[in-house]
Amino acid sequence: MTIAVHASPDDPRLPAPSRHGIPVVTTVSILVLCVIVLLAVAAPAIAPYDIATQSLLSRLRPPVFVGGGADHLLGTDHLGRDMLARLLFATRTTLLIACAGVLVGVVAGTLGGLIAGTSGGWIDQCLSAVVDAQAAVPTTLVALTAVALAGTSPLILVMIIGFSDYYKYARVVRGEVAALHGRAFIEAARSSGASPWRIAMRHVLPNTLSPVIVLASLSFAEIVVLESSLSFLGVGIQPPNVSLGSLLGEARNYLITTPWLAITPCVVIVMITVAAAMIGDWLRASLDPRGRA
Amino acid sequence: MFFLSRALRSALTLWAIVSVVFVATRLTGDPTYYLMPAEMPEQQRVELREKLGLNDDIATQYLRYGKALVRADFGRSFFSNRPVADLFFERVPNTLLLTIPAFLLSVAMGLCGGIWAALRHNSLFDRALTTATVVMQALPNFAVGIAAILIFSLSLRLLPSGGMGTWKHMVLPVITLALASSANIAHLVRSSMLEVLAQDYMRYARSKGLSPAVVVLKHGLRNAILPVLTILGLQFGGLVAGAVVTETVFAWPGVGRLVIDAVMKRDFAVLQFGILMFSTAIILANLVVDLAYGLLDPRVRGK
Repeated sequence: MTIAVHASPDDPRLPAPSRHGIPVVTTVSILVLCVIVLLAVAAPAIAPYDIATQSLLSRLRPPVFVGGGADHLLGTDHLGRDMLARLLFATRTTLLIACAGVLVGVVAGTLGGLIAGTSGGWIDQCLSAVVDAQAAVPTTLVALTAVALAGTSPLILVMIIGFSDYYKYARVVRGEVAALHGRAFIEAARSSGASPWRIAMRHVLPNTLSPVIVLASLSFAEIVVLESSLSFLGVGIQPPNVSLGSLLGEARNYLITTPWLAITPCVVIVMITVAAAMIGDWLRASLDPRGRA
Repeated sequence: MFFLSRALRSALTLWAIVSVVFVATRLTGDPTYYLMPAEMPEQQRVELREKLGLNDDIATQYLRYGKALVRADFGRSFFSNRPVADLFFERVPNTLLLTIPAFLLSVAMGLCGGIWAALRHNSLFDRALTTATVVMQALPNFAVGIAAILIFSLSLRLLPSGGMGTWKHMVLPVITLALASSANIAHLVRSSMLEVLAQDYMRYARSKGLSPAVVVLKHGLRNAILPVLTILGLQFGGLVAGAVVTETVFAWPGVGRLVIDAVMKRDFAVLQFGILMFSTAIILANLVVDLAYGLLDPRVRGK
């Protein structure tokens, strides 16, 4: 029978077609992301200059590919700061904040969903109402308001970003808890005297991991976009720290005279988000054939 | 009944948002520190607090705020001292000039792309579109905007890089804004259409001898459009949020810029009003979607 081979990949009853072997696009994405992560981790060791050292005599030097010198490979900005060093540290900040934000979202959302699904009743009602209300308002607006109220420090930024998308995990986990309810192994655990919380932590939680991982990988790109949007708008990472968004925000003011200041951060952001989205899409297809996430 | 309960729920959500923003702004410190230099004498600070009514307890302030809202008195900007409603509404047309064409464009592109891909399932176009939708949804608005300026304004010198004026000024911001949501819509239309195309009634419609256009548009799209409608409400919210970023990139004098400036200057009256208006717009959009759902799908009304 070869029917399964030709069947539609959207058919929910069939396993995903990409089970065997990783597509080329995904391999390239993984490689790109690995290289960027390695460079970001090694930033303090390989950055040629300090990110804050200004040198007004060598302002707005062009990068090598526009005819600049070898001492500033990617040129310098309007205060004479080395763009390569700034780009490395900006990537590092963006990735760190995004990872921490995803982690906060996963932990808060999974716990919230687990509590709502396990306890039921008015706790479930309350948590679901909060989740529904937040899902109705765009995350950028929620984050903007939160920044205006709480100010900007990297820790607050991580919290704001994390809590801007925890509701996705809460919804999926709560749904999983409901779906697992009444399954034989849950009943078996309960009849052998396990408390509801033991069942939730030991039997339900491991079963929700696969959709949560898929969701986390898909929302990583979104989180990178959210952080860099806030920083681009000037309400995220504050100087002297740099993120990819704030680099682009600065470059926006010099777009006409020195476009290369914008090109490199733009390319790096796009590489990160597109690679992450490709990997997330592949994970969704191969880990979650039912398309719950 | 269905309409009434939906409208009531929307009103409740709005009330919750207003209350949360109110309490949060009152809990995060003394606005007199943003309004006056730090070295002002304490006496003047006390007077200003008295004038702004900040010395009353929070319940009294909340009631007063509620009463003012009912009178449509939304307060004045801390900085320009103009009524926030005036500040906001004089910029609304500028933002609508971007969001409405972007919304129409993304719906048109999403529907055409999605339907075409579903009809040519597993073709080169279909696979290219599926990949493109993943990429386009991942691209940040501002990076797309800046790339567009670099290419179309600086290299090709075809279109202006920012500001408002002729129709040429609208092209880049509208396309930037529409890109992500058109990908979102195309993705959903495609998968929804694929599901519908496999149904028995589609085969029946074809075997009756109806023309392909009638089969696809009348029998297919009518059923496939329902899940897409839900997303359209959310897309509208996405467009509003996207406008905040896009207006900054293209120096477009809309409400998004106003709100960002309010965030930077901690101009809470403007920010509060902006959030209130954005939320109202989004909740109304979702309400309209729900009502349209009820009109298009008789099954929903019965519930």
